[in-house]
Amino acid sequence: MITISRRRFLALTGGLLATGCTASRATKTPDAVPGSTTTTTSTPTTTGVVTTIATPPEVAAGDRVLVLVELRGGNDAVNTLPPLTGAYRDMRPTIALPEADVVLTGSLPGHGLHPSLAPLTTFAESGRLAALAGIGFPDPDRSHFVSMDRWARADRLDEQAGWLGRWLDSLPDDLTALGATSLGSRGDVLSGAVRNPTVIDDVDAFAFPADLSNASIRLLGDPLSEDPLLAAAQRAFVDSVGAIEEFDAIADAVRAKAADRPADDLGQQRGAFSTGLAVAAEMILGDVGTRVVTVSVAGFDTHSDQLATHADLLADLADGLTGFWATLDAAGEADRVLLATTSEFGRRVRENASSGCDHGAAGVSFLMGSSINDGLHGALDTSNLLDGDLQAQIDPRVLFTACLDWLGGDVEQILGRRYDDITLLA
Amino acid sequence: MVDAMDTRQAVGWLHRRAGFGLHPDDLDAAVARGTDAELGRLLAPPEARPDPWDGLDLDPMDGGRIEAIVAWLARMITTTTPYADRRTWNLHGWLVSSMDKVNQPIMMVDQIRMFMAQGGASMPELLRALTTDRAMLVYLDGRTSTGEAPNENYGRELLELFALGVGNYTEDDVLAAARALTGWVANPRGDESIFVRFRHDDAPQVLLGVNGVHDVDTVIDAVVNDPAHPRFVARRVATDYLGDLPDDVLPDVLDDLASTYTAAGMELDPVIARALRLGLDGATVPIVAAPIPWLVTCMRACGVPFQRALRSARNALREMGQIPLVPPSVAGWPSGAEWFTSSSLVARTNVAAAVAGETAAGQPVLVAAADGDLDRLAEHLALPEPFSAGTRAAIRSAPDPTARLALALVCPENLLS
Repeated sequence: MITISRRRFLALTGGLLATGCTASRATKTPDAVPGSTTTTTSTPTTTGVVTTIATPPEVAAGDRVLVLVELRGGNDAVNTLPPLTGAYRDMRPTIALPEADVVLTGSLPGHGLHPSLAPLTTFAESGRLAALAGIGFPDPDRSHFVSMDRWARADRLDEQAGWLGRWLDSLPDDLTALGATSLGSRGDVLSGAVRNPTVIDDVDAFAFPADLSNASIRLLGDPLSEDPLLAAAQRAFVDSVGAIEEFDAIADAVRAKAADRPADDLGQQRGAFSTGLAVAAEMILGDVGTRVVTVSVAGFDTHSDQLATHADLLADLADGLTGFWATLDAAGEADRVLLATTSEFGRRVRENASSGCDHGAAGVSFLMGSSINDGLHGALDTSNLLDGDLQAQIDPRVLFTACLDWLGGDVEQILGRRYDDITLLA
Repeated sequence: MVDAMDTRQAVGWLHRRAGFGLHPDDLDAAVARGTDAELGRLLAPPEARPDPWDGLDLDPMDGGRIEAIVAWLARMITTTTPYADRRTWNLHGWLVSSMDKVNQPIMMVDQIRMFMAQGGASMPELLRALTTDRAMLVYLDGRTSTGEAPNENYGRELLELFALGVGNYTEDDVLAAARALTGWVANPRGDESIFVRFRHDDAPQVLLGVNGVHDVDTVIDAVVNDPAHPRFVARRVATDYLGDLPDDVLPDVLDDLASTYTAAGMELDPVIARALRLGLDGATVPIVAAPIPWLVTCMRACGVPFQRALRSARNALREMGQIPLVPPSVAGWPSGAEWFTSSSLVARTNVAAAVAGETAAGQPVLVAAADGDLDRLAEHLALPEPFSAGTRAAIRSAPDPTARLALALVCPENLLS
């Protein structure tokens, strides 16, 4: 009988879920110890690329980790990084941030930070934060879905794979199952033509039912069907077994971090950034071969009543980032990690009648790490708008080039060419 | 594309695609009636049906969001009008609003009621009703859009996602639609939308090349008369009912469905009926069953009533990635192999185990699992083919009939429709 998982299904409303879950997991033993965890420490073969960038010599490219934090819905750049001069305030009579509330830091000249991002000043002032102001593709598109696609595929819409997925595909050996992980919803950026990320939505639920052995589930995948959809499902089952076996090694630490995040009445977890980034930090420290993690959080499509929503989202982001780096700093592992934030577009500079703002063009990304060219790159220039939108000053592929260099990837192959008019890695 | 289907395959295909599957006893009866008779039965105008939310207190502060979701799920599981209820479900994933932003469950429920009442009829009428629907006015901000400062959210998605598709409109069209639709607000106390004249910009706009557009009727007229619209509807119906067809047949199918739509005075049911006929004639490829249709189909096949258990199923739904009334974005849910994430498959496996655990001893699926009659089990699940070698091995490795049934429910074959 499948008593525990059944109880779990029936008891999903509250604390019983966690209890039931833990019980089912405690009785479970992996069928095999994954043997592939060593692959990630191997030296990358693309040494030519590695030698062209100057990163601390103590961190080999194969040990480096990239964390991509996706702000889905189109993050409002001008309220995230308010420009101190120009028409910003005139164009936003109700949703401009009060001047007194804007957080100032000398390392971001001409701009301030949203008050919710005040904790980031520590990073800005210690050289660990760069702001890429006015990041966006030329010929912007105001559609969420077109723009998300362009960011995910680095504007090569003829390619099905995301740009990090292409990097995954280019690796000579498979990573571990947790080598590329999307926390939250599936990150299209990490989807390759051959390789795909492990997606973990809820760490508490990431285990198979107690009475279905991993061996049974693995059997579903063999032999592989010729039908592409069946084969995709088969591979996903086999990959999930592998991911769960690896995840078991860090599950207790990860779940402890996630445990105190309450869920709302639909089971949606509050504090998605802080939970996701806490999990990401544990994965990086957990020796499970993690190289790339995406943390995706929706809710930035602030067409109406923006102020409170945006403040809450950014506060959660700042909380998550602060905790993330504190965990890595305490373990002495921060130098291995580069973190970037992305969003499909910034928002219209002029507010609408709903105390919000509509889809726009250029936005802002943050880059964090100990080996970056910190401070402000570009600017949010409200004096030179195009159709009411900020114009792009930094191509997103400049950011992607830095990220791929960090990972030791082949930029020319993945992006078509290098985009290094700004050097973001120190 | 499939080879000719025999009657059992054809009837199973119809019910998995255009309904929510059948209990094995009902499936046997349907097969006995024959494909054409079953198609006619499925498409016949539905009997009057009770309202799923009748008598429920949908107060959002008192569990009303969950009540609204569970009542709809229970309806799908027990439905005697599967075609209409599946069409309503599909419309919810196309003309999207989400309770995540529309905090009032009653507004979302009223939107679904609207889909139930008029979902198969005139598409222009449905789009008109949708444009001033209270949940939609909240979800895409029409309620706060004024002539002074129009909010583009609804105007954009009407053109991009609901009626025309990317590439068939300009940014000027987005703004024109937004201006012409200003002035509508959702009355939070009554159950209607109100037009507030002083918030409206009545100046004539040019929308999609049509002059003089200034209100809901003229916006929808311009949109549905745009040459891109019939094909957009055709593509949506083809995707939902026939799958992602290969390039050598897709254009012909879209032409066929688009001209059916136009000839039928822009009604939806004739297009779906035509698509099902084309599918039975072979124009169909496998579709990944999204979590909700999959769950409902499993529960119907297993004869699990589940009204009570569903009340506490919300976390399982979220982990699978699909909560009715709460789509993740205005584009609706993922599709195809995007559903095969580790997170979602692990959740589906847990749900399959729970459904199997609730299945009563005498149920045909459990009897077949206990007997080890895997061909019969696949038939009971209305699968088009017997289980694959891998699935058979996995099922046989399970320790008891319940675990075997769980694996049959979640196996790759049963994740396709």
